[in-house]
Amino acid sequence: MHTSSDTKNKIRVQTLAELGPRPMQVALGCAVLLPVAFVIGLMTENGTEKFAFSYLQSTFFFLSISLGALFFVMIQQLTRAGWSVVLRRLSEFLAMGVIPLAVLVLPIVLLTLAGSDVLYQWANAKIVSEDHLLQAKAPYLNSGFFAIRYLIYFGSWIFLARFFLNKSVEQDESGDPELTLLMERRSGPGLLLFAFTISFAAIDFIMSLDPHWFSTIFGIYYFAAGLVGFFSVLAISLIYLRSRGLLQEPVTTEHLHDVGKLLFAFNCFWAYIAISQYLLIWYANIPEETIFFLHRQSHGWGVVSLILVIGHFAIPFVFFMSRWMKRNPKTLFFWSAYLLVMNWIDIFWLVLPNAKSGGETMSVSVGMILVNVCCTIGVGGLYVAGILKCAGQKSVMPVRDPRLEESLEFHNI
Amino acid sequence: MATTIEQPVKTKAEPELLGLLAEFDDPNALIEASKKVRDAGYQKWDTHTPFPLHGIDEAMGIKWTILPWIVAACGLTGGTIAIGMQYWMNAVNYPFLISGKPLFSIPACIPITFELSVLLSAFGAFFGMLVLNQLPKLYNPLFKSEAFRRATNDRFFISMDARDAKFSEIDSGEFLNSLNPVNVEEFWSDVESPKLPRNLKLALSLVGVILLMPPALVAYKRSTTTNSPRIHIVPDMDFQPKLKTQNTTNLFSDGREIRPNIKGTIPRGQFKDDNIPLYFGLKYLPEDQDVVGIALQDEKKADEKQPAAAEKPADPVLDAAAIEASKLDKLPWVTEFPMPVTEKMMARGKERYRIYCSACHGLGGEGDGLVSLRAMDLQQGTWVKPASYHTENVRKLPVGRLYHTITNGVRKMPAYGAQVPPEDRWAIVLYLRALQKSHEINADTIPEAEKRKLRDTK
Amino acid sequence: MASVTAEPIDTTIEVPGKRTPLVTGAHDYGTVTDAVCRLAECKTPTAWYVALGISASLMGMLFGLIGYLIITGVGVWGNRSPVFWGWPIVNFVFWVGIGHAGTLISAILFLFRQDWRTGINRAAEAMTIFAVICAGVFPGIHIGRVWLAYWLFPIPNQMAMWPNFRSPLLWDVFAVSTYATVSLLFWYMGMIPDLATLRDRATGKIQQFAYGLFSLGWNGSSRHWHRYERAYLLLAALAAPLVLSVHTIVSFDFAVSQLPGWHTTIFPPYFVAGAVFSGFAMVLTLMIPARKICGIEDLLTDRHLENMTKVIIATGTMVGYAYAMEFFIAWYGGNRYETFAFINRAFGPYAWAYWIMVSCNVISPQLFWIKKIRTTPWMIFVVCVFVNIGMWFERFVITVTSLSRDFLPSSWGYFRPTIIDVLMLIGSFGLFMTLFLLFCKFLPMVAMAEVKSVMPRPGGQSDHH
Repeated sequence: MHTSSDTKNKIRVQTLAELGPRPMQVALGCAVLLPVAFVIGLMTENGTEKFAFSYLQSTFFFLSISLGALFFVMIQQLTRAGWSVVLRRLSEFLAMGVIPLAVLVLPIVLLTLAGSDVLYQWANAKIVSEDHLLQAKAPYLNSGFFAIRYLIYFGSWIFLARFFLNKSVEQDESGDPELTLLMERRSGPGLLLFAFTISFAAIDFIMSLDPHWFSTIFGIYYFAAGLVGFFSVLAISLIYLRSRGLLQEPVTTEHLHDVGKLLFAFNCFWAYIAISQYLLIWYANIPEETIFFLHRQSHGWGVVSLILVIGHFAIPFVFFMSRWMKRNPKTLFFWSAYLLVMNWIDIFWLVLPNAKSGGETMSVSVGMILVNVCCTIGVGGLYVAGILKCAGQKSVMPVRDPRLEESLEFHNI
Repeated sequence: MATTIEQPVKTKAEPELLGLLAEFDDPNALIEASKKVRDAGYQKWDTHTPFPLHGIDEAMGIKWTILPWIVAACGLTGGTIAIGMQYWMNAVNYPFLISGKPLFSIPACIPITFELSVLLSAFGAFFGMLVLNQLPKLYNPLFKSEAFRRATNDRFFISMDARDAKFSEIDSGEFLNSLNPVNVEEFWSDVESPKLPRNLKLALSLVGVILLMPPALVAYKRSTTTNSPRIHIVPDMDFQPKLKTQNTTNLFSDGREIRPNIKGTIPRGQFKDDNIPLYFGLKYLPEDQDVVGIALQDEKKADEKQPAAAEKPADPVLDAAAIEASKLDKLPWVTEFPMPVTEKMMARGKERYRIYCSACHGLGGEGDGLVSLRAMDLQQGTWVKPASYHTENVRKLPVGRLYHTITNGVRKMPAYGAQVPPEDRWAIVLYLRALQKSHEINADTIPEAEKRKLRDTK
Repeated sequence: MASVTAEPIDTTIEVPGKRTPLVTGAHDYGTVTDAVCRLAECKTPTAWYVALGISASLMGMLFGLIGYLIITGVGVWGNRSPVFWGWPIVNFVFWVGIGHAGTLISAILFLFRQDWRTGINRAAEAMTIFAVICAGVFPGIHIGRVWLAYWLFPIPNQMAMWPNFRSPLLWDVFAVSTYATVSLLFWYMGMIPDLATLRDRATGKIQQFAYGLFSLGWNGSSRHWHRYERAYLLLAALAAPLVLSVHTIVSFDFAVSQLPGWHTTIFPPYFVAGAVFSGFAMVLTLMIPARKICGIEDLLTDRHLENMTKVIIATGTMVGYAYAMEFFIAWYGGNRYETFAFINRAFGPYAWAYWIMVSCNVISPQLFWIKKIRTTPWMIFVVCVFVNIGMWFERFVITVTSLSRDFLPSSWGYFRPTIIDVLMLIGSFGLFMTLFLLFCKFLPMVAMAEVKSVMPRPGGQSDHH
C-alpha cells in the first residue's frame, strides 16, 4: 500500500471544540425541557405514570444508541476493519454516552429500591404477595438484585467505552501499532460481556415492565433497535460535522455510502427480529404471550404498531434501497433522521403500552406524546452535553491509527 | 490516412476478416491502451481479461447495466404471484380451515412470499445477465486463436471488430501496434460454418428419443383402457394385515372381523330413543323393528331376531321386496318436519342435495342425473333409472318415509345414513319438497315480475 | 507446471496497517491457474479412487435402504409414538445447517468485503449444494409415500387439492427448494469463467466439449464482466437474506408449535447461528485435508483457516448464548411445562445427549481463543469434528427430548433408533462425500478469477481494498 502525498494531506487533528461553545449551550438549553415535561405530566391525568414511563423510554432510547456505538467500535477492532477508521472515533465518543446515562438511569433504580410500583409492579411487596407468578420470579425480580445488576451493566459498559476510547486516544500520541493489537484482543471478550449485559438490561428495564410476559429474543430485539439508532446518529453527525468543516476531507461519499448500507442492513435485521417474534407468538396463539401484542393493538396502540410495520420497515425498504439515496448526503440525512424517529417510536411502543390507567392500558394521547417528546429532548440535551464533555479536546479522527491510510483511500466496489 | 481498401468481390468460399486482436501481459497496460482506443473513437471493440479488472469500466466507457431493474421487476412479480397464489388456492379455490387459522392472513404469507420474490429475482439476475451478454454463444471466431486461450488464464486482450465504422485493416493495425502490445493478430471467419460431429448428433437424437418415451407411454396409457388390474408396487401398503368389516377371522370365536356392540352399551352419538321422529322419521317405534332397518340398541332383541333374518334369503327376492314395501306403507310415518323449518335449513338442503343426490336424481329431481344418463348411455342391463320425484306416488309419500329412504336406501339406491347426519337428511327432504312444489305450481299464482325473470333465464 | 518457491511467511500474524497477502508463495496469474487446474488435468491420485470407492459404496447403501424403506414403510425407522420426528428430521436439519456456510461465505462475506473468502468460497458453495441434496432426501422419504411427494408443491392434481400454505412445513418446502436453486445458480455462475479456463486448457476432445458446453462460450469480455459483476453482487444481496430465511423457516417448523422446548422466540436467529456454526465446521473438516492433498496451501493459507475458526467461536458463542437464554426464560417465564422440558433435557433420560451437545458446541470452540490451536491445522480439524458431532446432537436434543415427553405422562416414551436409522445417516455422508470428491476432480476447486482479482497487480496495486 503506497501512500500518496494527497492522502497525507487529509490527516489533520481536529476536535469538536472547533464547533465553538454553541452545541454545548444548545444541549444544556434543551435539558430545561426535562422539568417542563414533568410539569406537563402533572397537569394531565396519570401524570406521574406518564412522566415515569416517558423518562424510562427516553433514557433507554439514548442508551440503545450508545450501546450500538459500543458494539460497532468493538466489532471494527475485532475484524481489523480498515474502511471505518475515519469514523471510529466519533463512534467511540457516542459510546461514552453511557456515562451520563448511568447517572440518568440512577433515579429509576432508586425509585425501585424505594419500593415504588409506578414502573415495576414486582418492586411492590403487596402486589407480589398477591401474585403467585411474581413470587416465583422473586429470586430474580427483586429491587436489591435489580440495583446490583444495574451496577454490573453500567459498570461494564463504562469500562468498555472508556477502555476503547482511551487506548485509541493514546495511539493518537504514540502511533503504537501494539495498541491496535491490544484492542483487537480485548474486543472479543468485550463483545461477549456486551452481549449478556445488553440482553439482561433489556429484560430487566423494559421486559419486566410487564412481569408476566416473556420472550427469549427480547435482548436481541433491543440490540437490533440500538444499531438502527446508532447508524442513524452516526450518519447524521457525520453529515453535520462535514457541513461544519470537520472531517470534510477524510470522510468521503464512500464512507457515507457504507454507513447508509449498514443502516439499511440493520433496519432489515430489526425487521427480521421483530417479525420472528411476532410470527411465532401469533402462530402459537398462547394467551400468556399474545397479551403483549394485544396491549399494542388496543387503546390507539394499533396505529403505532402499523406505523412501525409500514414506516419503520416497508417505506425505507423500498425507497432507501437504492445506491443513489445512500450516496447523496442530503437524502442520506433525511433517511437517517427518519429512521431515528422510527427508532424512537419503536422504543416508545415497547415501553409506554405498559403504563396503566385504572388497570387498563393507557391510551395514546397528545398529552402522553407531548410529555414523552419533551422528556426525550430534555434527556437528549444532557446526553449530548455529556458526550461533548467526554470528547473535550480529543481529535475527531484516530490520526495515527495504522489503518488510517487504508480508510482514507477506501472505495466501494 | 483513411484510405479504403479495395474490397474483393465476396464469394462464399472466401474467409472474411472479422477483426484484430492485440495481446497484453500486464493489466495496467491494458487499461492504458483501452483509454486510447476509447479516445480514438472506436465503438465496436472489447477487452478480454481473466478476471474482472477494476478501472476497465471507466477506461472503456462502459455504461451502467440495467440489470438491477430487471431483478427488481422479477422480484416484484415473484412476490405478487406468491400472494395471489396463496390467496386463491387457500381462500378461494380450496378453502380449508386448519387449526383455527384464518384462510388468508398476511403473517402466514410472509415466508413463501419472501422465498418466491428471492427465487424470481435470482432468476432475473442470472438469466438477465446471460441474455444481456448474449450467452450462451458456444461458437466464437476468437476461440480459433491459439493465443486467445490465455485470455482466461493470464493474458489481457483487446479485440477490435471489423464492422466498426472507423476500422480499417492497416490503420487499425498500426494503431493497435502503437499501444505496445505483446502481439497483434487478425482473426477470420470460417469458410464453412461449423458442424456438430456426427457421433454427437447420433447421441443427441438417441437421448431425445429416450426422453420422449416416458411421456409417450403416459399418453398411451391415458388414452386406452385395460382389463388387467393395476400393478401393486408396494404390496405391503395395498394389502395391509388388518381387520375389515366383511371378512372372517380366526381371532374371535364368532369368526367375524367386525365386532358387534358390547352388551348394554350404546356407541357415542348413537343414542336415538329420545327423539324418534328426528332419527327415524316415525311417530313411534313399531313392534317389527327389523322392517325399518333400525340399528337395534338392545342386543338381546337383536339376538332373538337373528334366526329370522337368516331365513330370509330363502324367499324369492322379488317377493321379499314386495312384502317389505307393503310393510313399510303401514308404518306410522311423521308427516310434519320434526325440527323448525328455516331459510337456512333450505339452503343447507339445497347444498347437500346437490352434493349427494343430484348425481343420480338430477338437479331438478327428475331422475336424469349425470350418472344415470351415462349408465343409460352404456346400456347397462342392471341399471334401474332413479325415481323422479314428480310422480304421483312419490308426491304422496309422507316426509318420514322420504327420510327413511335416504337413511336406508331403496332398491338400487344405497343407504346414506352413515354419511349424512340426521339434520342434513331432513334438510334434503325439505329441499325435495320444494322441488316437488316447483313442478306443480299454478302459473297464475306467480307474480308478473317473477314470470319475466323465469322467461329471461330460458 | 511451474513449481513455486518463496520464503514461507506466517500469514496468521497481522501487522496493523500492512495487510497480509492472501496468496502466499511467488504466484502470478499463470501459476494460480496451474495450481487450481492441476487436479483436473493430471493423473488422478490413487487415494482419490479409494475415497470415491468407499463413499460411493456408502451412497449405494443409502439408496438401497431408501428402496427398502419405500417397499416396507417408515416402520423400519425408530420413529414410534410419541417421537414421530426421529432421526430423519434430525438429519434433515443437520444437513440443511451444514449447507449454510457456503452461501454465507459467498454472499455475506462478499458483501462485507472479506477478501479471504475467495480461497474457500467455491468449495464451500459446492458443499452447500451437496448438503442441501442430502438434506432434501430425508423429508422426502419421511413422508412415507414418496410417489406423492409432488403434493407438496402447488401442482394441479387429480384430487383438486392445493397445499396448505399456512403450514410451516410447506414454508420449508419453498425455502429449501428456493435455497437449493439459488445456491446452484450462484455456484454455477461463479464457475462459468473458471470453466472457460479449463476449456481453454483442455487437450482431450471430451473435456473440451464438456467444459465448452458448460462455460457457455465465456470469452472474458469486459462488457460481460461488468454485467457479471453486477449480477454477482445482486445474487449476493439476494442470497444473504435468503440464507437467513432458510434456517429461520426450519426453526419455524418447531417454534410455531406449542410444545415446551420448541416454542420460544429466539429460535430463528439461534438456528441461523447454529447453522453457520456447523457449516463452517464442516468446511474446515473437509478443506484441511483437501488443501493438503490438492496442494493448494498457497491459496488456502493458515490465515484462511484462522479466520474461519474465529467465525466458529463467534457463532458457537451465539449458540451458547441462546442455550443460556432459553434456560433462563424457561425459568423466568414461570410456565411449569417449559421449566420441566428444560430440566428434563439437562438432567432427564437424555442428559447424556444434552451434555455431549453442550461440551461439543459451547465448550470445545472456546479452545479457539488460544492462538496455538487456531493456527495448527490438525487441532482445528479435531475441534471441528467435535463441533459437527455436537451440532447433530443439538438437533437430536431439540427434536427428541421435547417429543418424548408429552403433556400426559402416560404418553411418555424413550426413543431408540434402529440400525436402519444409523446406516442411513452414515449413507448420507457417503452421498455427500461422493459428490464432493467428484467436484474436486472435475471442477475448479478454487475460484481462480476471484483469487486473481485479490492478488496484487504486477504494478503493485490490488483491485480490492
